[in-house]
Amino acid sequence: MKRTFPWLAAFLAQLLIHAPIAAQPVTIEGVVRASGRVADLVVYLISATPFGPPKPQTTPFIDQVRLRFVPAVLAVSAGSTVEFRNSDPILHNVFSPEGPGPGFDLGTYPRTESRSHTFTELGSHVILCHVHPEMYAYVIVVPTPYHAMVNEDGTFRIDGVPPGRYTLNVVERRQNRFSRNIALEGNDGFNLLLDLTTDELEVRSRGR
Amino acid sequence: MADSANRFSLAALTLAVMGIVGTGAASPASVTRSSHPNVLADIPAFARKYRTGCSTCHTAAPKLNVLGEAFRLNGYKFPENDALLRRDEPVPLGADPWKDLWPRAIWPGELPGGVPIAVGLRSDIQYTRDPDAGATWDFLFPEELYIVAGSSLGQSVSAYLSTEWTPGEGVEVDQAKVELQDLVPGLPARAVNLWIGFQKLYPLTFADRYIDGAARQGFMWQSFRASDLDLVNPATGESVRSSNDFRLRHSQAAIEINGLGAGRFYYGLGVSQGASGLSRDNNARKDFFYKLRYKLGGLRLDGRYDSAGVLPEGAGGQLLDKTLTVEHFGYFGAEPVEGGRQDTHQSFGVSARARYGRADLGLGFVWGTHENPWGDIAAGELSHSSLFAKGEYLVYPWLIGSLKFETFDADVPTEIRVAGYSEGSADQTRLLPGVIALLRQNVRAVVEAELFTEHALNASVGKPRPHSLWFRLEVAY
Repeated sequence: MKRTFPWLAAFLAQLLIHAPIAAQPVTIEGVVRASGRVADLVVYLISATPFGPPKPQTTPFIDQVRLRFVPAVLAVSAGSTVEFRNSDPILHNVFSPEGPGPGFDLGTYPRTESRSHTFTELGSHVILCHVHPEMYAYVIVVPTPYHAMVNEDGTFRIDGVPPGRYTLNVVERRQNRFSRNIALEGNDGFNLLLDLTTDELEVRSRGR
Repeated sequence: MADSANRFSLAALTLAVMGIVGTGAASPASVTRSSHPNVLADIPAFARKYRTGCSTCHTAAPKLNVLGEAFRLNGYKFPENDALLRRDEPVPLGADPWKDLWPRAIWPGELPGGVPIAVGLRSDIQYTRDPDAGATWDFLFPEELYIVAGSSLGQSVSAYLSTEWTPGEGVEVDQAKVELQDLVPGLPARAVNLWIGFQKLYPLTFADRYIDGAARQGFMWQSFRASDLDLVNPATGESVRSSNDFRLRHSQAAIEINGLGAGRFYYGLGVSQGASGLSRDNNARKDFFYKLRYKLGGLRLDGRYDSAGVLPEGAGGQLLDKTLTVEHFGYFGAEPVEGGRQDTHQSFGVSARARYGRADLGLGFVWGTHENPWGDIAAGELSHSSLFAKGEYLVYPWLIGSLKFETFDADVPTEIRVAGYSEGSADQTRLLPGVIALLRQNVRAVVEAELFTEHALNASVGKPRPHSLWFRLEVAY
């Protein structure tokens, strides 16, 4: 019995050596530089392999405040339901013309009411108000739970990203601004520096 | 009227010219009048204040939508929590705590954060088939320039000023008024308000081109005045007109109390100087007028909504309501005329107006009398009436089809008619088809035709009916 399965022990040892350590989700922090306004940019990561269940998130919403949609750009995962609120003391309408999807019209409704729509089609959905033509917003539907809006100062943050190979995308309203394959290997999180003026991307692991 | 018999033999009088405003070619004078719009404009200053488009309040400026009318009635403020919507911070004239010190301190007020002034430019091409001069084309570039300043000055005070410049008449003040809201403490909001100044009366709002005009022309009853009737003595060729220039459309020095009840009932009561700014009516009597309005369904007159109304919908930038509004007005005036006499006159009107989505339909009837328009020159009571209708349809949110119809009758005085002259000669019936295109929210192009199906005066002298056509381009900023 002492020499029963020496080959099995060797096989198991090999497995232990080559098996990946269970990947811990990391945080991606980045800065985007561009010649114009950066706050309407959306950054998202598409995994080279199918991702798991979407990370939990609160119900995304767009409010109507002082005759504006706030925020003016909202990124959501496909299948997300977006709530459209009205905080103005006048009637507002929410509709989206045909685009990535068939379009919808949530009707006209007063203050304190809200209505919702579920976005299933990928792409940039224009949101308009039938009674205030100066109002607009974009709901950008992406095929991944790993996305973020870029802040006024160009920074962004995506939490809970499993290490792996991804395609990093930057979209501005209806225009793709950047797309590049990147490898996020390691468990220490990453800093990204993206310069859209030169089309350069620098990825640094925080563990190095 | 023995005096008149002495000066003019009634048998020698004939009614020669009916120069009602709106006819294109009844006489050169009437052409001049018809081309003078004297129209209230939209106020782009509000678009700046709230950072919103014209169509928030206008279907096609100056035509107000239901929210715009509520905004106007509310003293140029949105009906609820106006402060939540405006983007410019007002300049406080005293802090709120000073209110607690009244009457030992001045009640605090407010100035608009931005200068609430807007300018506008109207240019017309006018085609007229004049029976005497033949077809003429007039380039009226510009037809009118105007400056409008309107603003709320805090919660309960607002002011409105509009001036205009026209090539023919130079600079004129169109309106200059102050509005005080909520005069009686304890009553619901907007129950009692006071408007004082040189102002328009806005009888039958759907027909009023100053606040509801998408196309160009108004209705004849708004512009009719007793002095439009020209009595001619065929023996001498001498003519005489009444000196009563009163028109319902003109601005007047007036004091008006108005208000809303339950959000759907409107009343207005006023005392006015009478006549127009062109001829001061300085008699001892002042004129009196009243206006009543009730709105069923849709957005209420105070801009709010309740279970009685279906919420308005939107379409491409336009607010579409489903409402029925009925109105009634009465006006009682007296103007000095020849011989130191008074021409006592009254006008009344009723109308019903339905907005149903893209369609806007109105029907009205106005009638009135002048008891002694020619003073001691010629006796006779002048009565007039008009049945009129207006239909507009939003083909697209930027394209409006318009059709107006009206028949106007001004019966000649009995004494003159008995003498055998001019029966029915003042009657006119016309159609006004038009198209309004919003090239931008603040750039409006209008094509409107004036087609007479009846023009008794021209018919009586064997002339063809006068027709006109206007092309208008208007921009406000």
